[in-house]
Amino acid sequence: MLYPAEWQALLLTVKLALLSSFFLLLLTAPLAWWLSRGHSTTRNAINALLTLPLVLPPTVLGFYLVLLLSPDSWFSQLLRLAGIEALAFRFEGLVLASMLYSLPFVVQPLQQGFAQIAQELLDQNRALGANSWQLMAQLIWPLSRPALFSAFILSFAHTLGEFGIVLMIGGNIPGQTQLLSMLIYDQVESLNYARAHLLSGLLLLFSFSVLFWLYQQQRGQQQRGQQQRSQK
Amino acid sequence: MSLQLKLNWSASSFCLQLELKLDNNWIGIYGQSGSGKTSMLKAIAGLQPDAAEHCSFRGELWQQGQYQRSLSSRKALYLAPEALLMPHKTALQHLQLASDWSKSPEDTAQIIQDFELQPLLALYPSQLSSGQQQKLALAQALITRPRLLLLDEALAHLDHQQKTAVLKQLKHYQQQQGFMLLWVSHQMEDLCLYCQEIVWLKQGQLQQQQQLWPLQQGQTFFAI
Repeated sequence: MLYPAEWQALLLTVKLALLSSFFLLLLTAPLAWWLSRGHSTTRNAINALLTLPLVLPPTVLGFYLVLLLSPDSWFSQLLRLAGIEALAFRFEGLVLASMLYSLPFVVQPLQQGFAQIAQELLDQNRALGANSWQLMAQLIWPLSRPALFSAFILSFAHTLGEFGIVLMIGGNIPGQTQLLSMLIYDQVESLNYARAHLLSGLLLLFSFSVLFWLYQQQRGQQQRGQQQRSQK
Repeated sequence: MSLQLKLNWSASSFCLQLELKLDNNWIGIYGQSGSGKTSMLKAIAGLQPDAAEHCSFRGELWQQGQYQRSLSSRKALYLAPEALLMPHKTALQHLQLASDWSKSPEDTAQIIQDFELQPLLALYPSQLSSGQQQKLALAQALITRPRLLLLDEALAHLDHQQKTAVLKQLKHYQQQQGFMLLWVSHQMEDLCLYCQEIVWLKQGQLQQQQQLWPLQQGQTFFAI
């Protein structure tokens, strides 16, 4: 049904979405935690900065990334000092770009989830004798698992649909940077509508399934909560 | 002096200014809503650090200017009117965790028996009534052998019969563990029955501090 090039693009897309979501979650969880612990001018500024990828056209992000990832930029020179080649037109560059692109889709749900954990409850258990590790294991981790899960799924689904940035920094190299969305664009450009239909339908169905599953999970959690209350 | 406290704190329309020296073990705190009772308890527990100028307990400095003793080393527990419980843990898990976290915990089985918690052990906080939640929070606090217990209307949701039973156990554990108790309540008759000293706050100021004669207090208590 799918040609090898299409399989390759599909696998690459999923790999990119998994990797960038994972690293994004790892890096932004502490930041989102700090942001959820109150309001201040610094926090608001950082929040605004983190939401930028949501409102900026991908071309703006893509343009700055082109400058940043090009071999003569200060960033690439720093990387070269660490023994890493410039990231332009490479998979690693796409991971970096996807992380920036999906940033608000991770930080916002995490922040909202963390904010549900009341500072009073943490203080109370600290006063009862819990140290930071015990608070983390018994309170913070179990209570923020649903938020971590939502953030991961949202970031994953959002990265599947990435196009504008990839167009600007990817280079459309099969096996390296040719994602499903790029392949569809190529097929449409060459008026190959049959393949475009197939790939678009596939992506649509897959994205729908992921989101549907996410909402089912969230509803399941709510119902479990209500059941507990109604057993009273 | 057991507890020495100096508060100096002003919010938009509220000013809390008082100096207090307390020596008895059962202290009742009385005052209208908005008189600063909760802020005072929170300041002592270290939950509202900007309110206190000075606080020391049994010869140990808890707060002086910028210096803050950590929450965990104070062993002072503040119990709010709405019990602060973990939504994802059962009653039994609450007691076990408090026991695990504590260096020399009270016997959990004994506490469960004394506070009649047996039928509640498998339930989550959302399945408990507000009175049961308060009882659980108090039992959890006693497991850790606190040095200072700050009750902010923390028995208010219990019915009269239950409250009497809980207070009897509380008295028992107070004598055994030797903690100091500050009890905020709107029920003046409760305070008179159980406390050795009553502190009366009015608009963030100390209105009156009154020792109760043993006759006024002790005899009625032990008759219960």
